[in-house]
Amino acid sequence: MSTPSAWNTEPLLRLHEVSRYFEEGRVQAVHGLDLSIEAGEFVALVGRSGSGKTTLLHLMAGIERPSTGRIWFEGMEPFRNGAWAALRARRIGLVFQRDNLLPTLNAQENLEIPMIGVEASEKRRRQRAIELLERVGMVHRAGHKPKQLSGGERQRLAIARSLVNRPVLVLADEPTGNLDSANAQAVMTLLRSINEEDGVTLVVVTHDKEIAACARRRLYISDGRLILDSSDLPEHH
Amino acid sequence: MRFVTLPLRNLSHRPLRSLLTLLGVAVAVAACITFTSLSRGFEESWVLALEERGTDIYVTYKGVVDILLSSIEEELGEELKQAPGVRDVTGELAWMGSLDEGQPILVIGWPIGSYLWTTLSLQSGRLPAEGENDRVIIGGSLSEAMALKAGDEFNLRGHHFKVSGIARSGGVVRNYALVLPLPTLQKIIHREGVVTTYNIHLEQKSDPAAIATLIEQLKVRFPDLQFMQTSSVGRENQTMQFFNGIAWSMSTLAFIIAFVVMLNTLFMSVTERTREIGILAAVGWGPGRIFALILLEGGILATGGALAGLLLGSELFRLLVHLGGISAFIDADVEPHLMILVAGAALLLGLAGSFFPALRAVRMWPAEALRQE
Repeated sequence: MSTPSAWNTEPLLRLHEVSRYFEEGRVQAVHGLDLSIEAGEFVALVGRSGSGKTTLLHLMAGIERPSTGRIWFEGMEPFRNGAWAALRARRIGLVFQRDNLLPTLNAQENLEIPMIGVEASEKRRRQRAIELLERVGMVHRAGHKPKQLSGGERQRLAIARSLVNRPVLVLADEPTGNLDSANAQAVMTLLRSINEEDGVTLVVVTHDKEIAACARRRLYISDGRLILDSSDLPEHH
Repeated sequence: MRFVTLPLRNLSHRPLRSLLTLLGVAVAVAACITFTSLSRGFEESWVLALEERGTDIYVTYKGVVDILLSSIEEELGEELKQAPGVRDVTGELAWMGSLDEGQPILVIGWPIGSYLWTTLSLQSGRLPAEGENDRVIIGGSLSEAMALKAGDEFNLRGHHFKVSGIARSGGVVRNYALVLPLPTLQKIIHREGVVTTYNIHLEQKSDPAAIATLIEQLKVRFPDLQFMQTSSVGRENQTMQFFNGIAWSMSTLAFIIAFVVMLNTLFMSVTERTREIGILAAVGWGPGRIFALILLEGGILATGGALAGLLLGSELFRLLVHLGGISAFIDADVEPHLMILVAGAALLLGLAGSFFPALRAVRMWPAEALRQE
């Protein structure tokens, strides 16, 4: 990682002319994008399917490598896969549209997985997992495998997993995409509480206008380009 | 949960495949234990039998693979005795026969008066005296198998014999051997005037360099004969080299097959679980931890396979020794250091077999892995 000289003034996340191509450049998912996200923000990445917002989210999380451009997190520029993994282990939480839980582990174990290597005490890992299960109202489902849980429960569990190591940034990709309205409402309430009560910076990918309306800042993405940042609009200020 | 929980769950999630891989390693380990124990067992029993009789240099006919087919003229013994530093030389005729009940035995003929007779430790009876050509000494285990004691009589190949004494030895070969005067054995197997080997007993045993020099001199003087130090009989003898060669070839082949099975299993496992590996990376597991996870899976399979293989190999070896009728020539116990060596090799195989799949797993960026179905 490289550290800029005045990193105190750096935003939480900064992208500079970031692009991501696929299929040897034939498909360009993200085009030369410049973006900064400050600590404590609740940002919605809004756009149609295929607009590049999921790829952008993956680039922000360091699970996708940019084809060109640079990304800084808390003023540091991680290059390697391992450096990004270390950040995801302690500073960045991820929630996917598909819950992406490990099928061989039960709910509690799925929460403990990210803590292995971060929290040395097995007892404290277990306590933290139970604490989060209580928070998402699933402590009674601690011993159930993902396939025994409903879609809403799996997504709440995935959100709980993203919080186990007390991250400063949570990135959520269409977290309500596969849920009915009641479950979607519960998930959004949970996400908002993470931002408002815990002060965690939240970036949510969505194409749902209602969910986007919950965010204080909306970034409109089309064809891999940032076409509108609501923070640039006069009424935002 | 602990780190080790995840590989254990992954393996138990696909029990049949894990079991078959474990079985592949177990078979390789068992094959290695069985074949190596057979060849080493023969070699060690033979060397022990030679050491017990105080032989320093063992002489056979050059180029003979089956030592029992070696034929050296009996008169050569007197010439060998003339070599410097030689205390005594004794010709020996060995023959592999079987009792009427089918029990294979080693029959050995020594000249009456040879120093070799004095190396026998008698638990009962006495050594045959001059002219007592129908008297034999039998090993302790053989006497129990034949239910014979000193003074009893029995028949072998139509000849009548009387047990002169019972000898007890630390080695298996001698405990199942039957020793009789050389002329008698030459007569009953129709090999008059020849011996299979010579045993050379030296004045000074402690100087290996002097023994090596003497052997070089003997080789020049007797180019048709092969001279071996007792301790290196296993390495130099062609029969033993043949057995060892087969044992190592079979063991290596078994290990290569096990390696391929292990590689295949873990590659399949990594390919099928690409998405899961992507999830682990997405939640913050670094390449090192993911690498260790795959390596641990291979290690668990190899350890399980090694333990099962050690058990299987030991029992198989014991069974082969008893059913194959070779208990007279080989100790049925597997050497502990061989078990440790083979188990270590199996563990290395497991780690080597999981190395490339692990490398493949960590080379992908998480998003790439998550796109896989």
